[in-house]
Amino acid sequence: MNNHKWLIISASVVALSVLAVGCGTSGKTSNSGATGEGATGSQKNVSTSHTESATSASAFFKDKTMQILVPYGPGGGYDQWARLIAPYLQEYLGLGKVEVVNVPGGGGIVGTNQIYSAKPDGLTIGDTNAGGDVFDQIDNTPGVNFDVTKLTWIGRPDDDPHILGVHTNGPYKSFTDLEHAQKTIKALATGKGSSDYNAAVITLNAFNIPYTMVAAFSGSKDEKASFLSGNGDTISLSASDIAEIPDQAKVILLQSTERFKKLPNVPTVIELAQQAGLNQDKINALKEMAKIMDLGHAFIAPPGIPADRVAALRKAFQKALSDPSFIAQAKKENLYVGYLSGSELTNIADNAVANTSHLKPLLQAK
Amino acid sequence: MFSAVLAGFSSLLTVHGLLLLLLGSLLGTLIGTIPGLGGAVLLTMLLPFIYGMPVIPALSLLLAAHTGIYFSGSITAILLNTPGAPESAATTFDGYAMTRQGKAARALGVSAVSTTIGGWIGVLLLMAVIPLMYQLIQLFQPSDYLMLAVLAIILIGQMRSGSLTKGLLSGLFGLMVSFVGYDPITGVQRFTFNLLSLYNGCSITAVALGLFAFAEMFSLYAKNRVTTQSTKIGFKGNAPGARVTDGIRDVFRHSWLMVRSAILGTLLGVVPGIGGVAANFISYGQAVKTSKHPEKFGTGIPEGIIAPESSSISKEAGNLIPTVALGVPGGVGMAVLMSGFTILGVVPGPSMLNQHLDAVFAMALVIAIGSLLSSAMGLAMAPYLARLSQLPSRIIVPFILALGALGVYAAERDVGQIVVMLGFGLVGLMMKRFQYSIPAAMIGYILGSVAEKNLYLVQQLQGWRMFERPLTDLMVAIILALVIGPYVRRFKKRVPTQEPKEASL
Repeated sequence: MNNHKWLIISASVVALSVLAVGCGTSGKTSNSGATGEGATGSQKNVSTSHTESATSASAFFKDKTMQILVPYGPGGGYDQWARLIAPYLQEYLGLGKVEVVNVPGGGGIVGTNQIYSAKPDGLTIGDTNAGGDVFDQIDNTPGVNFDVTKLTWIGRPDDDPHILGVHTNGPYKSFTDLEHAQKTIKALATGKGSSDYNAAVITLNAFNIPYTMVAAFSGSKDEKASFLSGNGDTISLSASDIAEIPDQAKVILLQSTERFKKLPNVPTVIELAQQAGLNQDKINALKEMAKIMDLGHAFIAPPGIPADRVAALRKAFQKALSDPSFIAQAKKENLYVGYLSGSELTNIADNAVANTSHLKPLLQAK
Repeated sequence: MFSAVLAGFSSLLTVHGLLLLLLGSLLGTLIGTIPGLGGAVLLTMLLPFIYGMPVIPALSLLLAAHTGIYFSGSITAILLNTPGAPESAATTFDGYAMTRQGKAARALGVSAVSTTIGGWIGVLLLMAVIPLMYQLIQLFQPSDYLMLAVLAIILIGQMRSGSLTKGLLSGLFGLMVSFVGYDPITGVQRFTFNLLSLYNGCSITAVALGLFAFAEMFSLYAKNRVTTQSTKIGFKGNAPGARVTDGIRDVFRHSWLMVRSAILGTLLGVVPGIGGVAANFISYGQAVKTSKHPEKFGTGIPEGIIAPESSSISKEAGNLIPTVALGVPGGVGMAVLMSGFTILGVVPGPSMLNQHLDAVFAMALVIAIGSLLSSAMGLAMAPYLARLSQLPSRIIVPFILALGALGVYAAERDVGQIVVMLGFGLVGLMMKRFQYSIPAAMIGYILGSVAEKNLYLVQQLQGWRMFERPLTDLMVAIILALVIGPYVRRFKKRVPTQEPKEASL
């Protein structure tokens, strides 16, 4: 008898814990169901009364649940930006809840596809490697089901240019040394098809530097660890990554259109190309590449979101980025804040896809 | 340095810090029993709460939850053959076998004590190397990682299989499965059949649950139908030899094995990618290899629980080393812990060792206290939980199937991976039937990406110069001895080929 009592108690404890999880899941489903109904309801509102568009957008977002899809796993830079901005978007859009959902896979393609094909109601947005996405589209990467020229661009939170670095006590001290390299250099990048990989390939191709790419790392930290144990000649990373190892790595080039205030003495790839007297086609290609790299950790949304909601999203994003507590937290997390508006991002993406004739020949790794 | 130790301990040992530690342990222990929800999922759910917390209490919440998961993962592994986290899969071999003999409570006792003491040994080692960890981690080159992965696959391949060949074939099968998905080097899709679900490969939770839990459940259910009687697993309750206290005594009887496994676990934990899930298997493998009676492993002996369990938390202590020193996490849980670091403004790497050394020592202490708390909680419940094994299979099987499906969905949010899990359940059933090694397949799957990536790096960065490294050479020598050794011995003794044992289903 006593045995049976305990059996029942312990079985019900397990059953309860499972139920608790089950309820959590079902609660979420019903929540998003309600959101869906609300979405269709206010879409009608928007089409009937344009004059009240601003108020209807804010009425639409009120108390809804937003999802920020991150096409990478937890722990990376994209995840970091999404989790940082989530509470501010919640506050400035009056949302009930903002969830960050990691959708890793396919070097970011799986998640970006999912953002692109999400319901265009403004309640699903994403934080993506925009430069990588543009390169994927230019390169016709298998699995790409999105078109960056149709995406809704919300804004860019960061100003953190990609760079090329060398070992501080290695044989190469500057990019000019690399240009005169006699041996084949080993260039580290995170993974094939990532934007830092493509940028390094384009630059090294343009300057006719003999190289092999070494790229099978799970992320920038992994790449950096290999560089720190003495591997490779160059490393392709973003400025904030390299700032953590000032004694071991020297930045020799910026993959950007402009110089960077935190690294005032480092030339851009375009300046170096002009100095080296590369032909105009190559300089144009490098300019296109630099612009794509400047897209950074952009926030995007699916195409076809009603205009008033896009405006509300962009405004809330801008407000969040100028919030002093946001800036303080970003600084604490070692993130470089630098706002770029959604309309500017749209222009960059459109131009990049339209002018690829110079870029494409340089995109193939040797 | 001693001031950092004291500063770390004193900021942890406050009411606030200790309460959060207790909360973390409790959450980890409860949630860890649900397969799929351990590891990264629980930690990601806790992340939003640490905004604005001071560094040390926040890390103690996360790390205590992370530590709590392991013992409760072992509870389900022992009682139901369902590893709560993939890390606990090695515990199923002897743990579940003991449950079937009615010694569930004793098995839980063994597990709780060896987890805790193993964890403490890991923490002591961690504390000893903290000042040196940055230099330590730079000692290894891709060829060392590659050979370690190959060595692990071969070592485990000889475990629980009909023959060496079958074991190696199982390991190769696991390797093949790991190639499904996005190729890390060329960036193309392999064996995905254009199915979006497979773009990211087969989920580790789905594979582990399929091979271990589902295969067992299928065969349990099949047996039930054949014998047409309730397969109540014997439960001896308080009979001598089946009590929790017997389990505690078992651990101290094999204390050298426990110390060895804990040290091995810590060392393996230092290696990113290998330390995560593979450490427990490798630890089990070394116990079998060095045992005087290797044939008894898998039949339900305490050594088979002590080995994997004493490395289960000690490997997490080792895992902290690359995470803290380089920012390269050893497993998924550590990756989420790192997001926690960045939210708190702690940058892993040399600067963390300079500016937040107190936090590093505090984390070591959290692992030590957390493992004790979760084991104490688990142990207090053990005699009652053990009665779960009395449930007849017609109740337990559907329950586990549902729980597994739920866990995989919670971890992956993808129905496709539930199909993957069911598929691996059938594969596992076949492997059991024909005496192929399930652990070898699992380890091949886990280490496939490590081996592939480092093979590429060796080829690009080191070439044949890899043989200039003594550590690599040593491992190559062990691998050759393991593979060729049995054939040489057989040739010398002219022993007839081993008769296949009767297949069990």
